[in-house]
Amino acid sequence: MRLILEVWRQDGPDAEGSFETHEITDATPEMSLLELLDRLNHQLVENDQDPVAFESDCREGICGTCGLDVNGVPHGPEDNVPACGQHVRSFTDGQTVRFTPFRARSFPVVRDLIVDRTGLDRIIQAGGTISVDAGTAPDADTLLVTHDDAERALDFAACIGCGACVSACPNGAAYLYTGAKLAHLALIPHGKEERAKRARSMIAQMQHEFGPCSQIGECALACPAEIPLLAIAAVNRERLRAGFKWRKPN
Amino acid sequence: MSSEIQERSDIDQIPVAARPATTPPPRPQTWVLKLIMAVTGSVFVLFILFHLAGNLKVYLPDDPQGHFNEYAHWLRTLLNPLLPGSTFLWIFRATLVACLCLHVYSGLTLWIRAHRLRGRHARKVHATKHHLTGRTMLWSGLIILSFIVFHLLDLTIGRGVESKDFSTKAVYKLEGGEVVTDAYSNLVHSFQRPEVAIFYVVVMVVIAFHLSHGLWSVINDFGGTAPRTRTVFLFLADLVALIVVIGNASIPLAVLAGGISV
Amino acid sequence: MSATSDKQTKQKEAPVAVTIDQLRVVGKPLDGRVPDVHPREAWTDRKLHYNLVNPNNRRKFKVIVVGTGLAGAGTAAALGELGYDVDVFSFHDLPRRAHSIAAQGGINSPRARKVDNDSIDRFVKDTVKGGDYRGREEDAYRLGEEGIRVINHMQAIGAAFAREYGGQLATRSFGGVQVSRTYYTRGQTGQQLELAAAHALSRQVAAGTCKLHSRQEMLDVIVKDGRAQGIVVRDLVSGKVRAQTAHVVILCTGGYGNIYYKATLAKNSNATAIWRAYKRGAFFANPCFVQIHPTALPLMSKWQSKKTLMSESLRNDGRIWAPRKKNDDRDPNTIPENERFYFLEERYPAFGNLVPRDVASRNIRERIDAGYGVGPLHNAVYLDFKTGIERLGVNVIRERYSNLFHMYEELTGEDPYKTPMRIAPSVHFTMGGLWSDYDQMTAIPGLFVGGEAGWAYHGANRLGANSLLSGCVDGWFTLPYSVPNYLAGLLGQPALDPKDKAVSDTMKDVQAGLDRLLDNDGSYGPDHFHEKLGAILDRYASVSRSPEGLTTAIGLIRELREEFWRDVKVVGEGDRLNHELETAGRVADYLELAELLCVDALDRDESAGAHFRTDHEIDGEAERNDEDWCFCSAWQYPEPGGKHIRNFEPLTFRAVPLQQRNYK
Repeated sequence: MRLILEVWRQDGPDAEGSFETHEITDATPEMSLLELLDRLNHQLVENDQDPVAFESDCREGICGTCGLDVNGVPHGPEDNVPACGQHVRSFTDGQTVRFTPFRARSFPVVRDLIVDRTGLDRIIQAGGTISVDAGTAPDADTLLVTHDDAERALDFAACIGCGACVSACPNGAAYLYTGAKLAHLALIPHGKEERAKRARSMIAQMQHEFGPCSQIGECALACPAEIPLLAIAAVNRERLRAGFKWRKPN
Repeated sequence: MSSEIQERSDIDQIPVAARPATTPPPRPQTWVLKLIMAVTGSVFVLFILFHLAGNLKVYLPDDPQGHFNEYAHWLRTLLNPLLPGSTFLWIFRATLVACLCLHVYSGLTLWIRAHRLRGRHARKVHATKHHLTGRTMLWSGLIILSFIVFHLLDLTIGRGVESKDFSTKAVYKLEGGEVVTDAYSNLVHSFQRPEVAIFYVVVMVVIAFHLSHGLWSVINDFGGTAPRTRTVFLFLADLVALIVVIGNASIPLAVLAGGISV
Repeated sequence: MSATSDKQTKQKEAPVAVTIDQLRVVGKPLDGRVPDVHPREAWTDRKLHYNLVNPNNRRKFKVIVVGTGLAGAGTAAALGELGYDVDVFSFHDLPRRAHSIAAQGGINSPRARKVDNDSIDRFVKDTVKGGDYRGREEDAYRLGEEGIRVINHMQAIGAAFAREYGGQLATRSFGGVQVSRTYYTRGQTGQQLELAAAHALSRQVAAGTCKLHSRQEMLDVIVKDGRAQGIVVRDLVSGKVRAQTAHVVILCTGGYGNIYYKATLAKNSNATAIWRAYKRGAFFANPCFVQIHPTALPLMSKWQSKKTLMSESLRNDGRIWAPRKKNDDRDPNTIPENERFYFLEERYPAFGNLVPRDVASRNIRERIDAGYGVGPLHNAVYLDFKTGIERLGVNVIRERYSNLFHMYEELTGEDPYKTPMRIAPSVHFTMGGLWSDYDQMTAIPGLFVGGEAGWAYHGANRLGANSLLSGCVDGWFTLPYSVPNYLAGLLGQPALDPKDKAVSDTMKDVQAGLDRLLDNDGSYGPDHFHEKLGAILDRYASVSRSPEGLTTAIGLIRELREEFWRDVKVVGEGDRLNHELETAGRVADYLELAELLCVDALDRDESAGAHFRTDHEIDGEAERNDEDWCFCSAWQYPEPGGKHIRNFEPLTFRAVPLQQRNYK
């Protein structure tokens, strides 16, 4: 298969950046989009050109390292599939495929297709954790969790932290990401004590770096972990709930 | 080389990952603004349904003009004699204006925040329903805002855009004997102008778009996570939007078609 | 591979025969510093004798942790919670990306709640026997004992383990054992544990006890006065080489399985950190113990970037078979029962499809090599869920494996609910790693190791679901005890001055290494050599190894290493993000490590666990030699030009008496 690749090249966060066009003549349908970039880089190195910087790690859809927009869609044309699981078979012979870095002001470009997603981690740092020190946990069977609650918690905990939801969002919002974590932790008994505090601090941090949610729902279509859209409502639910909780004066 | 490195190690610390902000987020917080929009938006939905019920009196088979004008009069004198004259109407109007201001303020603030955080590259439009309605909320909102002004000038105040037969004078005698403004005639005269009638129809479609996404947002902004409630709301949002567009847009069309006349 | 280099390789096919004595010298016996009590009591005894650090003094100790996987994030968080001044380094953008996240199946813990007769002793027996008696019993006891707390802790910090309908934790059985002690969260156990650990680390980052340095790749250890006192890192974004000094350095940098080029490991996993530590004086234990996972997706095309693991837990409900006819290209569903060979069930009636990984891998490989492979390249066998679905119903199967099936379908376009999966063995885990004593300290005082980067627990073969456990136990419940014991002896001493000559010398070495790669005027990218290296190792040092093959491999690797330094090219600059430069450094290290791996495989004149020597087998089964080889080989970096030095730590077995493994 022949494919035209338009790839965004940008040296650093403040550099101008522009598109570069390359042609791949021996793409095969079963190649993943990352393997397509591997192929391109191989070709570039052969010709002594700088390879395209893009990130990937596990290549099996769990690490969340890969993050790029393909033809303006996070990860690629198929819904709910990470870039490593997207295949060349989605394109037709001779088609132009455009690779751009994740689109969001909160994700500054590091180089080419690599963006800085540490903003997502700062939301977790702000409070997406349970304050239990090593060794102090009670026996895990003393707090029972129903089978269904554990399963639902896992639905939300499946988030791979790739940031596609932010790139998919016209507002650069991280509601799906934040909501998934809040919903996950709200469903398990440990850390219930800090539920209100967690909601306040995580949502405050989220607002520092990410946009407001307009309930458009594109995030849920892009999400490789298939986090349900109701995670965005979980953000508001947890925040409202926290708003009515008595707040300890510091 | 080694001295160069040695010097560098002095001044050059290994970068440390940034930690969360210690300052509070910009106020009013986004979730507060969203909540304001949801509450004021809900008030408008109730108002629109209420307004629609009144409008539909033009379809009453027996003396629509009388019923319509009687309803208009009832609205002005609601809660009499507890409150004198049109007091309630003014409270009602003041509430709506306050809601409108809050709604517009919140919406614009959120839009500005969202706009700032948009990234650089073009996105492909995902053809979902909420995409069409959700991404156009600002524009549909601005159209509705200008429509409200037009609507007030056209049928309430009668300045600038009213029909040539518009009158606020009390000329219509109700069955009870009171003489009131002939709101019905004003309406019909206005809609007899085809461009105005079409404008009303178009705006009703815009309102339907705004409503269907707005009501869907309400359930999210109130934190409704129960799947069944969300499904019901999703359905209700479209149902209300459909009722509003069919109910309201049919009136100017009926006037144009000659089905309703003075 | 170009035609000329192909020819070169062929010419060197028969190098001058070398004997092992020409390659290595036997060094000294090592002391694992294991308490001299019954193995069951060892950990309790050791903890009792550890020195402590007063809480007020903890802030004065600087600790470096490299890596943020289960072991790294756990160690850093736990030491941070205790109050030490921790610096954490990762080459990823976020701690959560570490490859622990990709583990699927589960985590063992001998909590022994059921009446299937599980216990810590039985766990140790399984682990030691599974490892073919090439690991320490005492380590295994610690693994079992602390494993109980691991489940409680990981659950409490957010890992949503699967639950029974009664609300208790659910377990399942896993390859190699006959009890049900594996805790899991669907097929994403590693993800849930890694997220919990990374988030616990985040809590310490927010609290200020841990400083996180992301996108920093460790390239060397600073050794001064015989102690590890810091590391040198390259900033992957700016390319700057900088140093950090500390009282203690802990490496949790994972395994070296990517040396085989296409393995199930993440693309960035590499051996550089442990290899550079080895070159500074740490010992490398048992490099030849490489686990080949039986159930990975086979290669299907040239550009396929890696193999993908399908969790071993699939073997609980899936049945492995190959057609009885060679090169059978029929649709598997149309092949009648009597033409299917359920070779594991027939050959090992007691364990059937749940035999340990090495046995399964070798048998699958045997079928494929014998010409019974299936799939377009005839490089796989079937893993069939038909019986499982009939027995349990499609819903139960979906609940247990939905994400694995989903992943399989995403990658292959086939529906495993209807068509059997195609699987093949792939390199997956390395039992070998930096040698450490019972306290997880390497041969360099002050340099500790945790997780897959070390050698502890697994001997010659790792049991399924023990790797997540070892990462967690090291991170949360071993290093936080043993590291303070070391630090207590340094009370009052400041960390090494960053202006010290040892620091600038090490930085200079690192910079010189980078410059050498950048300035090399060759014609092939580093990947080219990595691919060739993988082919050599796959052929001569994989599921079965012969002395002749290994000798050949060593010759080929030496050739390839020369070729690499003659002909490698690294495009791009050193002062910015440059993946080619990163890869080149890693491949250069692999080329050295590969030789050691083959020398170790040639040296270990027996079959043990994953190390299967064709000259040591009885009826196709591994033949261990406990008389001569019941020890851990700990290789020491020789002087330039010298022979490899093999030290050894003798292993004794008191709780689990030595006995030949038999899964029939």
